[in-house]
Amino acid sequence: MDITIDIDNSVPQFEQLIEQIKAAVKAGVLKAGDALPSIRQLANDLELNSKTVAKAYKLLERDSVIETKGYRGTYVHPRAKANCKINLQEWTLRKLGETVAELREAGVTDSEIRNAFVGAINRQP
Amino acid sequence: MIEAYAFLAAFSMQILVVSMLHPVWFTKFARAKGEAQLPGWDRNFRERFLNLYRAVNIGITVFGLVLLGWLFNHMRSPDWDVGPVTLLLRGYIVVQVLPFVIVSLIGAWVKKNALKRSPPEVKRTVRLQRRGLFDFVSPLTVFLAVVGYFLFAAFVIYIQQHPFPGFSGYRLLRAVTLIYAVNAFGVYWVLYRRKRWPLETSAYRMHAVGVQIKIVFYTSIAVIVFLSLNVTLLLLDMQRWVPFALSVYFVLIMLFTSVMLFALRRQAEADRLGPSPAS
Repeated sequence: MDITIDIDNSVPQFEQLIEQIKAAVKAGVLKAGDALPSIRQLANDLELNSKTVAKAYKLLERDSVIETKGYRGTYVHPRAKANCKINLQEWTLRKLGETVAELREAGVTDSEIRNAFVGAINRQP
Repeated sequence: MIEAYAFLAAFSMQILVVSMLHPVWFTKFARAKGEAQLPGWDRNFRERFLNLYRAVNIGITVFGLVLLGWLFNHMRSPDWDVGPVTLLLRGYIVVQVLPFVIVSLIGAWVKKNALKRSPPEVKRTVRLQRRGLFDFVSPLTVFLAVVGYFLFAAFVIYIQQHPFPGFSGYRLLRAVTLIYAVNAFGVYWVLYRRKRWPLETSAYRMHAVGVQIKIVFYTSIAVIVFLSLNVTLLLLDMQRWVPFALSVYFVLIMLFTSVMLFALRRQAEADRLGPSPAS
């Protein structure tokens, strides 16, 4: 399976990588257990910074689309196809939208929501 | 006398393969690679350069034939001395290899300059496939190279217990260890180096990686076999066979390089005609 990175595209490079790997999993081109190239190999082949590829892999691992098996390398997760359907960004946006709507209904102004959001983000867990 | 005639036959073959056939094969490869990967480059410059390369090799062939005549005269005598013959042979090997090394270095320099002038590649496409050593070379070859090294080390250590005049001992083992270390680094670098050349297709790159790795492994094994053979000849007091062994070894290495050049040329021609499904 070929992967293409367009450096002129406004979409960040790590997101282009994530999208294409997810698309390949959804299409069945990448199957559960398939080996993926190492971060160094992919970064060198695409002439990208290895941190960019590492970030993409980290996010894919968080979404359980891929899994790292120590020194043996990175593989497609056994439930990758099902996990690809979950779009965390979309889900977060929907949840936040619902909360903002509730707060507006309660009479909270946008400025207060913004300040509260920054405060909540900066608060230590 | 049989060793003298065997050497003269091997030396004639060496002149034919290294200075006559190899330059022709290399020129064809350089032309195909240039057309595929340096389409904008001045063809006249390339042709002039390649013609000069072939002319130099013709000169080296003539020199080799003169040398062959001298060796024939020298080795007709039953008490011919192996020292000067080996020395001349080594010198001639350097002379034969030098144009190939120089032309390869100039090729790399031309490519580097062209790369500096070319704009960065906007769309970068690669195959999402893990590369490993065994994708390019069989486990048996790797096993042979590794076992060969340890057997050679054991052989040298054993002979060191009963040394004989002319045996280099641990220096030989150190040299082989250095060659293996450089080769190991070379394999790693070839497998994971950055893709720098925009017009190099994925198929060509994978092909080149495979060829380079095979060259490294096969030459590692060949070095071990040749040195073991050389030490054995000295051990059996058959020093007069050393020039023959050296000449045959050199011809085999150059023939092997030529086979690799054929493979790369075919891929470069395929790339020029159109992208392959794998690229």
